[in-house]
Amino acid sequence: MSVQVVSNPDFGHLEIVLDQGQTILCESGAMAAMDSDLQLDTKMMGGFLPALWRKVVAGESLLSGVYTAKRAGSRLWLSPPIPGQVIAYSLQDKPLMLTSGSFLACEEGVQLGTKFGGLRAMFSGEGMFFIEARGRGSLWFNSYGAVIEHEVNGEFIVDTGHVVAWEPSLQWTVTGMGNLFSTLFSGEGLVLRFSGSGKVWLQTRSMSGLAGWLAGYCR
Amino acid sequence: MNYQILAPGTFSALQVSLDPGDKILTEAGTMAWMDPSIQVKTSSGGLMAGLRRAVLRGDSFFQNEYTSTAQGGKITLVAGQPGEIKAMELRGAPVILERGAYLAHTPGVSVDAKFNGLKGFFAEGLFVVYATGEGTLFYNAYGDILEVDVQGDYIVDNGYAVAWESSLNYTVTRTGRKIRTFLFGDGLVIRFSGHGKVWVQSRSAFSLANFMHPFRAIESKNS
Amino acid sequence: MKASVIGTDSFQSLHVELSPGERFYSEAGKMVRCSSGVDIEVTLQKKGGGFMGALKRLLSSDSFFYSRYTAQGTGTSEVVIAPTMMGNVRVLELKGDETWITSGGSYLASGPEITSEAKWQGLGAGLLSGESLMFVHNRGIGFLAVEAFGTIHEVDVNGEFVVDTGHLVAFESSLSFTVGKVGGSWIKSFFSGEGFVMNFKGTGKLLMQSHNGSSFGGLLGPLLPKRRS
Repeated sequence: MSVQVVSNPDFGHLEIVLDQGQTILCESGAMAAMDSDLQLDTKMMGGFLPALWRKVVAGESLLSGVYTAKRAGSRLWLSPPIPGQVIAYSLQDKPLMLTSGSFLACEEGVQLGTKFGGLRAMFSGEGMFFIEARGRGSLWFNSYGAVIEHEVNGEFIVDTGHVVAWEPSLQWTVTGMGNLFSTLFSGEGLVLRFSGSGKVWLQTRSMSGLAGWLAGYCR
Repeated sequence: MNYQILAPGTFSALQVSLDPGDKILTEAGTMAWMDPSIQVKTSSGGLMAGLRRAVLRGDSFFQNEYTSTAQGGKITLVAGQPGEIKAMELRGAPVILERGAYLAHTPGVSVDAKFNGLKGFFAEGLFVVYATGEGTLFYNAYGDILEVDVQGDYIVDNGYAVAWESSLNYTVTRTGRKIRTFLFGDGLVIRFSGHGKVWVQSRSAFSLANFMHPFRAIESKNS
Repeated sequence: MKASVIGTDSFQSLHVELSPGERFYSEAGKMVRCSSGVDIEVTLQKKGGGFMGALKRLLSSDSFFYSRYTAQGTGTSEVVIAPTMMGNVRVLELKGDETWITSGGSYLASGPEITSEAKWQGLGAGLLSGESLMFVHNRGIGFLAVEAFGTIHEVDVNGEFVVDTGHLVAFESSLSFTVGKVGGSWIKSFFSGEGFVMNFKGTGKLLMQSHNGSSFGGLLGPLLPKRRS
């Protein structure tokens, strides 16, 4: 299997060539184009209940697409719905946390689960559930905007809309910003407060920021 | 205070390092991430408030002031739109910015909002921000920023002008001679004359807003 | 007349240089800037146009109107045209013996001798695919500029090829297509989130875009203020 991330950092997407019998799993609706003899199946990632849970609470799709090649050299293009960077990550037993909407594709052997963000996250509008990827295999996730990798050592504060992924060695809580007045009126809403040490993937734009800017031009 | 543009280009971000006593002012909602030493003070004051209330549907008319309790506390600020972020050193002569182009400023700069369009022509008016004083002004665009040195006359569509020097004269006029209306959104152009710089962006917010129109939810009659 | 692509990959635009008297057309409302000697007119008509043509264009997701730019004066004039979305622009030089079919609002601009005619894309295919009902057939001698959301990939189709309806930019008329499902069954196609795709057949060039405007719109739309109509 050859998987290439192309057009990073602005229009990252995947160009894939599969050998006979090889399989790749992807987020619902991610297929942009393909050779006509690829076989499509659907799968509930992690079984029915976890998939249903992710659908209901995290707004993820119930089913993932599973593409399998019947011959060598089958081509497949997978794209995220938003412009930005695609990151390739090799999962080796140590899990990875993703914000909802960041999952693009993975090899068989990777499982997705759901983590509750706490009661306060319910008010943030950014999705109150996070995805936990476990297992072994390659994983591809996407951002809106450029990705900045940041090693946290101590404490670090991120607007919830700017987090893409983080290592679970970090502790995290969802909190307000400054005092109550600033929480309500700073326009920042809620933030993720990380502590400990580990890596966090940040994105330089947020969908709510984009909407806030564009709203001023809507009729 | 010093600053760095992270990921220059389409999705650039502004990282500011603050020592105790330094200050950066920005409109509400631009903080992406920061060190725990950064403190925020939110105020409703400032002349930007008038602009926000009048133009941006009361979205947010608050201004945030960030300081640091430790040496070199870092904060990253971003715009909503994809595009370049740039810094401009002001030395007294005012610069005029399209309303969506303002990002942040240092304390020596003052910003003020004005309406400059064709009165009565809905949604197509030109709301601009006047920045003056001495200090650093951070601005951003939707797309790449092209600097045009105007000597004489130059025409830019209303949706693409990001900023220009106050040494230029400008008038807002309508294009075309036949069927020109609100139907296609580019009814207005800015005609510059004189000598000075104009910064032009490579995409239009009005154009994207038109594209997004069918994807928005419809307001129910009862609400 | 010289048409070329300018700008960084993410925000490409079309730059057209005109000698006095020369003219070209773009979809209305796409001009960024121009020399002061350029006359801009908004018109329904273009070669192959007229009122019915304009009505049909509406169903192709292109604009009802064209802008016509005519160079006045004595020197060379310049006009810059920008797409709606962030992404690539491609200039195709048509020699008169081929037809390029543009889909879903990807027509950006063309030279004065190019006819652009909106045509039904096939029985109900548009309705079913959720994309436009019409595709625009462009032919003649001169340049044709298309716009895309994201990166443009050029694919040489030889045999069969599947493209999601939202990722299609343009293709040569030597290719035929049917609207259908992906892989095995309709049920799988829907539950995988793919719905309808276009199955191309034959030999010819096809341009596709890395990103899908409808998917992006579907995510951003709910975050925007509600509209009155």
